[in-house]
Amino acid sequence: MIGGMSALIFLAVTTPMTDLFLVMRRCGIPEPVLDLAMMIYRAIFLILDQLVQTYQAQRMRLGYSSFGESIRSLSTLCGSVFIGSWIAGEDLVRAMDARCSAGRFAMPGDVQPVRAGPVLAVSAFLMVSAVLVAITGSVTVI
Amino acid sequence: MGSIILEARDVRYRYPRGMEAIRGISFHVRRGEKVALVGPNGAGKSTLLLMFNGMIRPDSGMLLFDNEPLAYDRDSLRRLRRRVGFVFQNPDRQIIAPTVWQDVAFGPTNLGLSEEQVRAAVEAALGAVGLAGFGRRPPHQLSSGEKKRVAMAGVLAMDPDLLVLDEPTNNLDPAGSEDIMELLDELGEKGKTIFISTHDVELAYPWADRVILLRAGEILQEDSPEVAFGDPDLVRRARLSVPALLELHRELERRGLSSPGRRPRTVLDLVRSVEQATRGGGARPPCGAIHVCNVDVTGREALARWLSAHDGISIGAMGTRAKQRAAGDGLPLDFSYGVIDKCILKALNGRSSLILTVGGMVAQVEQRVARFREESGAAIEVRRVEGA
Repeated sequence: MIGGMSALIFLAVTTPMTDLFLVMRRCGIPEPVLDLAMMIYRAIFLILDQLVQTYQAQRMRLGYSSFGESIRSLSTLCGSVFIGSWIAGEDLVRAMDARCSAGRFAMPGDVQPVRAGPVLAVSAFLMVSAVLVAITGSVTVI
Repeated sequence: MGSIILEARDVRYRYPRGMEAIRGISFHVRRGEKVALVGPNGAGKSTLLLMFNGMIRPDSGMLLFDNEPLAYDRDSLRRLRRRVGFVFQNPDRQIIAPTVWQDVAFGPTNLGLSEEQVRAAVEAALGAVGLAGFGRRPPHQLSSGEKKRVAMAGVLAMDPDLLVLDEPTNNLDPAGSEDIMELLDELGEKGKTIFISTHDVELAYPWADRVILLRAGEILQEDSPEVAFGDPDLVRRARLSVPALLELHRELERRGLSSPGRRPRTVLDLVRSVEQATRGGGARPPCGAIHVCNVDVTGREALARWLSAHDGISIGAMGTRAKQRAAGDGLPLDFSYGVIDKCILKALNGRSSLILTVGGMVAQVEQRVARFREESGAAIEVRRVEGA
């Protein structure tokens, strides 16, 4: 499990999500799944923004000063962010309609060319990791 | 004046379980016009705008686009929305894709254009709003002004005839607002019809060809800006304010310091009016010259050489491309909005200035200054800065 998580985190912190979408399409992941993923990815930032704003507004009015208060504030935070994102979602549909939506997303065709330097660096890193794993495979820490 | 592109006939609309938002509105917009719908918050501006591309269907009355009544079936709406581009107030609610390129490509892709055409449309639209090279950026990393431009590019990529913008300068700083207004001017020059809603009187006043004052779902007044904003009583009833320029002119006029008659639209108009009243056509100091440079044909070194020979000259840039070039060359801009007017003002004061611009706008500068020369008799010379 740790290996899987490390691989995922490695991918997440090194590769822009938008490039991953491109690769995913090349791998033949169905368009509807990808379109959904892209809209969800965009929505994450909108919801996060709203979450931070509401949370700050609550903090400013001492929303988290005691344990009971924190519970109450958290529940209203969840509620208002839910309603907010619902409205944002409706607006999104409206915005797509206003631009003649037929539910299709375009993908930029041009992919940045693969350069030797990064490829070497990544393979070197992976090799070192593999060697480390092989050497320390028998070591038990706990 | 062009043919009528959009018309409303006694349009009414009531929100479900709400009050009547639009109470019998009729007006028309002609091709190539720049119209500002001005009214206080809650006057029904957004509701009315959403009717133009069929997002809201009026309860009674009729809307016509290109003299055809709007139809509300799926196909007609798609055809209509291709020609009526709508820019929402909040760009965050309009930008739907994870990258700028994908968002701008959304409209053209859904219109069924080929990949080549989509790419060309996106390049052109991003270039037009001054965001060339921003394609791979995710929208949440952009500033408000840049997001607004992305939203506009997304609409421009579909090449609409009528551009509808709901509060285009809301949430923007003054410089950002001026950039957007200049962009709208540029699009107007290219023949697009532009309809904006705003409550920023100072912004609408010099920009619009025609102003529609809206209050509580009804049209209070529909006229040229100097007339519509000129009636203090009307402006107060619309919960707006008289533009500072008009108020100043009225006070100066009462004191005999400004010539009566035509109301000024710009600072230049007012200055001339004051000069006429106070100087009485007497001798004026020699005018400065306005230099125009087409940055597409003038190289960086040539421009730098010219500038070093004219040390301390004021520089203005007209158009998105010229501004980018100025930024790229590290030239400090003195003016970026209403550039010709400001340069004429400088020239009247005996100072010279340089306007950076591109292609067809060189002729536009010459025509505008020539017109001013005829009207005022001030001998302002326009000189082209040549490439070599």
